[in-house]
Amino acid sequence: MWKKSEDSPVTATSTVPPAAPPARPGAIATLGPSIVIKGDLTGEEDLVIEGRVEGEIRLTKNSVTVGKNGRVKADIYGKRVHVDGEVRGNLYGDQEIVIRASGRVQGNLVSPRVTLENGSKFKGAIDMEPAKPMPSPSAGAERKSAPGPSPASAAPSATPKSPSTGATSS
Amino acid sequence: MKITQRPGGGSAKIESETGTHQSLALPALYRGLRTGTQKILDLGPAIGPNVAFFGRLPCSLFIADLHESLFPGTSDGAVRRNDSFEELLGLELPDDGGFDLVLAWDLLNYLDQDEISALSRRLADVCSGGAVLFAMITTRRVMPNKPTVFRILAPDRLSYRLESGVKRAAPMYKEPDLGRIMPDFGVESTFLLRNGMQEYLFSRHASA
Repeated sequence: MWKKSEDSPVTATSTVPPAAPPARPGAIATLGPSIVIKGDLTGEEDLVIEGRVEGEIRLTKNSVTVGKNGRVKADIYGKRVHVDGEVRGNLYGDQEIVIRASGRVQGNLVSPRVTLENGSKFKGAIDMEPAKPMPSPSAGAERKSAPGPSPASAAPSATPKSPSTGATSS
Repeated sequence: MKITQRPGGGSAKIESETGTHQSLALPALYRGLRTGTQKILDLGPAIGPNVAFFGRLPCSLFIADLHESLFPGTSDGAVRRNDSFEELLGLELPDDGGFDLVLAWDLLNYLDQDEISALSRRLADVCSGGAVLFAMITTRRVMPNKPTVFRILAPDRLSYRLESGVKRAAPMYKEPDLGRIMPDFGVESTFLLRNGMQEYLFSRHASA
């Protein structure tokens, strides 16, 4: 964890690094098993959750992984969302959502690519319409006023014999 | 094919069985699904290949997993929960309706007549007129101890997995029985398969 030096004097010539440095590319933050967070989480790093989170998790440009010990009661917005632990909430994966064999999810899944591994448990709705923008307060309004292509036209090769679209399974 | 596995990481070994069979009802469902956006309610568990299958079609999918609610865990003991079935349906099925297709798989075999009636009433509430209910009723005297997990391999092919060789007596519901205890639905067509399963396509009455 970063430790801020709050009592050191800050002057114009100070070389003390800023309190909130920009995220390093490829950086992964981990919430350990003893960490409990009640509130919203945002950021620009990949995140692994092994602790408990209640609130909203929004890392739309990064991956969110709920580890085997992770217990989340929150909606999760991520580029990729992987679940090994337990989630009660809706998952929004800009690229993909994967519920691994040990994963337990109760909520709705919204992503162009959803994978449910053998042994995983899931209850809820699955929405895999391709090219749907990640919902946000502003994007939600856009979506309603600007209908996109119909699923059929957006995925012309969407037949059971085509492996090129949508969900995968294992 | 017989394989041996350790369910749920436990130490006990049980015999499980997998196989495939041709479905005669699924092709009809599949043709309907390709004609427009459909809302599907799956009463069975979330299965990767099934989600993948429906994910390629213009439809939305809601997974209720009554298997897990009624028969929690993976042991072959298949102890049913004693909760009120109607309460369970209230908790597990979505309130917002408009479903065009319900996949009941072989669940009806594991419900008594009152429970099937309750399920039928609840489904009538959440289905649109003309919605199709797909169910498999065994015509044999015995059946697996808990509902079977089916995987859609192709529009006309299912694979199944039995977690143990433990069997129980089957209710062997007949078409007139089902028509009587599910008054909101009518039998559209049935297909008797070689494996002893009879596939049913029910249709919700428009006036229900």
